[in-house]
Amino acid sequence: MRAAVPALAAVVVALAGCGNLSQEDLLFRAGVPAKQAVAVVPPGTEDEVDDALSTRAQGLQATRRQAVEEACDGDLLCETRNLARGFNGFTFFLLDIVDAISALPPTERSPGRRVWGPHFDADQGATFRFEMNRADDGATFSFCLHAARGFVGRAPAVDCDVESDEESGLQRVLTGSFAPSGIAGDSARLGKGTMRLETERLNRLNGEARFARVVDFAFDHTDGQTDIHIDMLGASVDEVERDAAYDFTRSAAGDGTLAFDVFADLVPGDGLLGRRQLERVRLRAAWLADKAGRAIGVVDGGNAGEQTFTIEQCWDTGLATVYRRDVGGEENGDVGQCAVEAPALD
Amino acid sequence: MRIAAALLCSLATLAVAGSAHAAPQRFAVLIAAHDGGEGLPRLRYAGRDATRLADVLVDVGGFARADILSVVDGDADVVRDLLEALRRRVEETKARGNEAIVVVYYSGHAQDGRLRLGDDTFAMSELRALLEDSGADVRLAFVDACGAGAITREKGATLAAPFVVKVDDALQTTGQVIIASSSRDEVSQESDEIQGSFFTHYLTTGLRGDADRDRDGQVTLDEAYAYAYGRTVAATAETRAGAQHPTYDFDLKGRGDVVLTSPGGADVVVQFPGELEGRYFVVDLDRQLFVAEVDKQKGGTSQIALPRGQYAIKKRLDSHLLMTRVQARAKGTIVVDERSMETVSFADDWAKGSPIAGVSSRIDQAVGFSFAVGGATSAVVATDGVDDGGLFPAVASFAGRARFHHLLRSQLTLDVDVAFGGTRSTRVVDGGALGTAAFDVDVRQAQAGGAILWEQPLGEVVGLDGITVLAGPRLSGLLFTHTFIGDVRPAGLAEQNFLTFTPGLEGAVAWSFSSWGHLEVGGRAMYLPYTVDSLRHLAVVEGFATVWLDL
Repeated sequence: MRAAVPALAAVVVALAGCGNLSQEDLLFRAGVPAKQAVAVVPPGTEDEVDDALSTRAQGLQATRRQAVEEACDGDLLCETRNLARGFNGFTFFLLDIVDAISALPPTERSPGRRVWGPHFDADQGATFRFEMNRADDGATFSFCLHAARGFVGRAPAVDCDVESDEESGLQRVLTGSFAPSGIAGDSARLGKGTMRLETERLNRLNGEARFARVVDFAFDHTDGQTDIHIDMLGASVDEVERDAAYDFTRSAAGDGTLAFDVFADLVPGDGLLGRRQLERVRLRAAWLADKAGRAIGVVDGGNAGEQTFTIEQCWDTGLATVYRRDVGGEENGDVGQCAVEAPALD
Repeated sequence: MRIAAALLCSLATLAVAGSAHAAPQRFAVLIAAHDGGEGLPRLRYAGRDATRLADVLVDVGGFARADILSVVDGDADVVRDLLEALRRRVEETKARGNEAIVVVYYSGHAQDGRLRLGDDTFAMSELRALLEDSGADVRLAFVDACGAGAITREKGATLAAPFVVKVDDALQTTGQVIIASSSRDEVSQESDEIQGSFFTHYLTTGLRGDADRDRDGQVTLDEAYAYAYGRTVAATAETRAGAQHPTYDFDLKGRGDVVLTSPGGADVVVQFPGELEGRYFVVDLDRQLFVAEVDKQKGGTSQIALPRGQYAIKKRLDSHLLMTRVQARAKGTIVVDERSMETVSFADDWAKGSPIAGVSSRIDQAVGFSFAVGGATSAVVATDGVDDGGLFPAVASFAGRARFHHLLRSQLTLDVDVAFGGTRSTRVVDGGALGTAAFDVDVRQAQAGGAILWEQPLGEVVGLDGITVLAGPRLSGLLFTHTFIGDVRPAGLAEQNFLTFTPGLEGAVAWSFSSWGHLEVGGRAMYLPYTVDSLRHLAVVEGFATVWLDL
């Protein structure tokens, strides 16, 4: 009897207060950015992006599978799709993890703060910890995601300031802030925010080659209008670290613009010591709601040397090329069939 | 020889009556009094003795529960009321042309020719007169008042004032037998080991079948008295108070025998075969009650009748116990096999029986089990004044309850309940700068609780017969589930829930509308610790109404 009373008391204390019946949890759920808020959707990727928005990546390798590239052969629209797949692959993968873990009851709750995990995700074969903090203004949430390969059996002393916890192996792979447009309905989880993808750490966890050091996103998805600015810092291109910036806009109706910098071997020739040389391609595209659009790529550097080449391409509503001007200035098709004016090059 | 002859004579009446009328109606009045007034020690087992006898009368004596009237710790007026109720029932029975047998039993203190009912007294002569006036064909009275010691305690009268008052010359009545638990100059005793008085203990054991000398499946008055006499004298011979000798007074005419019980026709018969020898105790595990003690002599077969249930049979040896568990769930005979009994230390005895005493104003309420269905409405009161946006809306529930009477001690009831309810509500979430959202939710609430309630029949206090008040502490588990419905839902979240424990108090008023059921209305106030968003101290208030079936 003497042992039963404290045992019963312990059970009561342990079981009391289990659950997630919380008003504030609903606010935090609204503060988790949706994949839709950061989706880059150039013409021709609408269906695959829709699929990706409604499904969850099945493993770390999915980041690469989702980024399977088309063979473009200098097709500018194709290049934009490949770039969009690359970015979406990383962001969707991480936000899928965030979405799954934040749907669970938080591991820690305190006013203005929620922590989930560390949770082992058998599908990913990895352990994740997600933390959100609500700013004093009540409208902005900051967040971070840590990941470790394998199982982390205890809760380490990790917070958003910790980049890497040696003891547990947890690496910070995502940070950001987000101001949702509202709490419920279409406005929840869509809004304005920033994200930093620690791609170098993520690639290390994947066991893959270095892709870039970090990728910064600034996004604003309000009333169906999407504006995304991406800075890729320390991108490993041709064994040289380069920085690049990307802009994407898309209206609720579907028309939009792209401004991407890509690197491609468009001009034949060998570089020093027989290495191939990549040319920088500044790609600008604009399209209408019916998908008909126009892109201009300016090639320089690499085998182009001091020269500058311009590639231009127009496509119709079925995404078939109706006009093309290649590196050598040769034109195919009728420029009069281009549905939009040539995007301005900055 | 005198009593045997007398009883043989007395039995004739019943036998003749039995041949003319197939089933005489049987009634009983059981009176238990723990307190004997100033200067007398409080008895521990008077109520329990009455309970045991009631069980035997119902199990194997042909008595209906509804025909057993009882009172515990009532005053003389209550006893008179019961005897008057008995008289009316006998009168109705006789008016229908049936014969009637009545049993009156008293367990308590007695002094100077009076039963001691707390601060009140009741003259033995009045009891005799009322018994005679009952009009029953056969009237039996058992008067048990005694007890003493560290293990046995003196129960009733002082040695100088015996309780059996002028049995020989004051209670001689045609058709009437009075049996007292001790003689004029002795005290009767009760025992902690058997959790009852010696006399009633052996009387009930005998009635269950161990007194059936001729193995005809029936225990007669003669057999029961002889058995109770012999066992009581033997068991009390070594006590500090000394041997206790039951006595009798009779005046019966006719031929035949008075059959008190028919254990041979019982559902469950426990048989102690010839090779067994020693003292065997039978404990009702469902109720933790001693129901019988069989002092088995080698050679003959003993058997006792029991209602269906779960029992422990144990044999006490010098250094340890032999114990076995018996599941008597179906009709049949269970043969005790000592070889299959497990050896158990005294400290590990798992069938000690709990020291319960007392019966309520109705014996059918005092023993056994009740269950109920009903409805409840609960609301959470925000004692901190915080507007939580409808986190805990008021909920109507359907409730089921069960109650175990007198498991722990007299007037204490163990009550368990479950309730399921729900409502449709709207949760309003204030996001500050993010605006406000309203989410429609289906709210479901499940509750399971247990309470220990003190039962106080008001009939014993202020004369409000049939009204009982109950109150006591309660602990419940409470599960809230909110399922989001409607067009506006939180992102990626379908359901929320919360489980907590809520200690509190419960009170109720019960009204008995028949011998088998009662209505109850009551309320609860419980503490609800909410711990999710922040620690909040909330209160749950609940009202309920239930309809009870008393088994």
